[in-house]
Amino acid sequence: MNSQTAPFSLTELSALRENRSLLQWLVVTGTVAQVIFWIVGLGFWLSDNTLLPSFVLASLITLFGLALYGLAAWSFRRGRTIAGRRWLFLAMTTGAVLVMLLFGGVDGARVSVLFVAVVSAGLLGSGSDTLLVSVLSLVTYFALLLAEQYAGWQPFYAGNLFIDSGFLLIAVASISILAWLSSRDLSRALAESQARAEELLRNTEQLMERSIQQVELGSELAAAAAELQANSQQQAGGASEQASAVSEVSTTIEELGSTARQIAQAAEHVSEAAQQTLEQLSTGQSAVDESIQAMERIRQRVQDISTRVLGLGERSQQIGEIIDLIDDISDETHLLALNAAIEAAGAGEYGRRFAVVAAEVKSLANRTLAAAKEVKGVIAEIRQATSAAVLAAEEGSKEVERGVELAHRAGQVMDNIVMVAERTAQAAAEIGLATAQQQSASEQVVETMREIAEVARQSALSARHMAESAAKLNAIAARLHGLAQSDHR
Amino acid sequence: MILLIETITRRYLGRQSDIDTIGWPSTVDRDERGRAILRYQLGPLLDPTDPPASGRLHALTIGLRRRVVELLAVRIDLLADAPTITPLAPFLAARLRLPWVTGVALLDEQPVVVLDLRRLAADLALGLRLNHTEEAL
Amino acid sequence: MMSSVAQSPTTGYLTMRLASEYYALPGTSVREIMRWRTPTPVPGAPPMIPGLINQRGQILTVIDARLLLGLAAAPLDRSTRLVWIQHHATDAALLVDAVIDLITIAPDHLTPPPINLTGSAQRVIQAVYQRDDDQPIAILDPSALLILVQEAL
Repeated sequence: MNSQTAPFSLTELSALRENRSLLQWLVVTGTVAQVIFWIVGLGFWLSDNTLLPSFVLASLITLFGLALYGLAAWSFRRGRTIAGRRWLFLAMTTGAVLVMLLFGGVDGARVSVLFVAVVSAGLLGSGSDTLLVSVLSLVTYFALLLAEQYAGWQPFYAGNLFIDSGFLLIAVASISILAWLSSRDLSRALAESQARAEELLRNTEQLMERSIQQVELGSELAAAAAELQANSQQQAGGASEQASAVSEVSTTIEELGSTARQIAQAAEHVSEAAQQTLEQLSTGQSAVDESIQAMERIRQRVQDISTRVLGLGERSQQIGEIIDLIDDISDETHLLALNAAIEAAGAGEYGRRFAVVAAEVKSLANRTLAAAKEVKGVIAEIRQATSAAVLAAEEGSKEVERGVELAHRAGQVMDNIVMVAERTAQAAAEIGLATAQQQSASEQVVETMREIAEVARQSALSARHMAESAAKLNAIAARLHGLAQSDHR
Repeated sequence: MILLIETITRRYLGRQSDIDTIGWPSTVDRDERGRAILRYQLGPLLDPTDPPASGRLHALTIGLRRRVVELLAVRIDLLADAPTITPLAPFLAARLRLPWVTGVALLDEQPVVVLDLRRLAADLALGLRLNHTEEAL
Repeated sequence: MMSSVAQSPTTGYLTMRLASEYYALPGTSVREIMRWRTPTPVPGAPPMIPGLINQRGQILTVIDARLLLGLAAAPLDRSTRLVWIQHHATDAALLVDAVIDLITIAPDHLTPPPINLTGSAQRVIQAVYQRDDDQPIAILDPSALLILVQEAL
């Protein structure tokens, strides 16, 4: 029958009372027996051997028993073995009652079927089950006895020895099977109990080891708790430090913000200065342009002067040529006058008047010569002066060119300055913008720092709490440690 | 007959009777009578500032007893009308290094000296030169 | 025309410049003053005689007076003159650096030449005329000049 209940492992057979397959087998056997008994009863009723009320009672008992069997089976199926057993034994009791009701009443050997339930309860059930089944068996027996004696109740079948012995046989067989099963179970239970004792011993050792470990863990826990306490104290200290650092940083950031404001103001000043520089430069630029134009005019004038002076030089050259001609002519005149005078001298008294004229002509020629010489001197001076003037004009025009170049260069420098000033103004504006951004950023930073300070304060508070908790934990750990140690001893 | 002798820069006069022939310069060293032919450019010979001529030259040939002198000039001509020849001032004639100039005549209002060509050739054959002259040709 | 210095109360003198010195010739020995023009050179003539010129059909021998008197020959310029002198039958053209003027000198203003004169100067200078605070003018003897030309070697 064990092989039929293969799904159950061998270990589950260690206790008979726990053997659900056996119990289910009992349920099935009981149910079948109950049904057979009812069919026999039905046969009795149909053969008019029995009164209807008796048959109804028997059917009710049968139904009750079947219900109990169903309950037992349901309980086993649900794993409620104890309850199932109880329902099973009650059902078996109803079967025994049905047997007594159907086959000959409360006397004879057939009564032994009651013992089947009682013995089953004793072998398979717990102490309370046996008591319950025994009480119920006795109650029903006495109820049947009273009903037979005083109510005139008649069983279906009067009974005979054959049936009695049949039932006795069944009861004995059932009980002996159960007893056999139980004895086998007992030896196994003994072995099991020994094994359990050994296991218990082992478990105890393990438990001791565990408690030792526990002690160790307790001390570790204590150390960890102490460490945690120290850490949380440190954290508290760190948090307060953090708070003070945050306040310092906030102060610094505020200073930075004020510095940024100052920078922004300075940048504004720079921007204004650059703007002023630009304005002044534009006037300077126009002045440079005007000076360049003026230089240009001066250069043209100087060139005019140079040209005119050169013209003057050429004219004086022409005058010199004319003077040379005059010189030649006066030379010639002089020569002629000389020759005339010589001629006149040769003519003696007659030539005297002619000699006077010749002398006049000669002196005229001499005066002309002297004048020509003078003019030549003047012309030479003029030519020197003009060449000096031309040189000076050339120098002047060179100087003017240099001046123009310098002015151009000054203009370029001004352009560069304008560029630089524009760049400065732009940069100052950028600085202003950046410092404004910086200011707002530093304000944000200050705000954030305040939040951080709040968080740090809270963190310090929680760290203090944590330290307290750690202290408590430490105390608990110490107690646990002590406990474990004392346990161990 | 009076000869007009033209060099590169100067003009001279000479007497046709002093010379033997007027022609082209000879190409030989000696004449048919075996006399050595001496050839001179007249311009540089008489005036160091007168450069030697080149190309086609005219030659005055003066035959001496043992030599023949050829005087080369740019152009030689005969004057149709004989000019008046004035003798040199005595103080000048006395001061000449070699008496090659005998007088002076006016040509186109310009004084032109008259050379004693035979005396000149004889002096050249004797190796006499004016200080500045060098062997020409 | 043939009158001597002593005979004539006032005689004209043609003053001239040779190098840096001043000389004078009696006006009576001077026929004409001419501009310088290049003479026709005479082959074999000494440097003192640069050549011959034609003046109004008269062929004149040019004598460099500076070289004749042993003075430095300055370059020719526009003031260079030729002085036609005539003495007896001899004509010549004296090359001088400049002709100054025709002046008259009273005989009592003339002084005899200094006795320390030597060479050609001693032979051709017949008197000296000392002007007021100016260079003295040496009066030349034309005949002595021409003789000097002939003698000079």
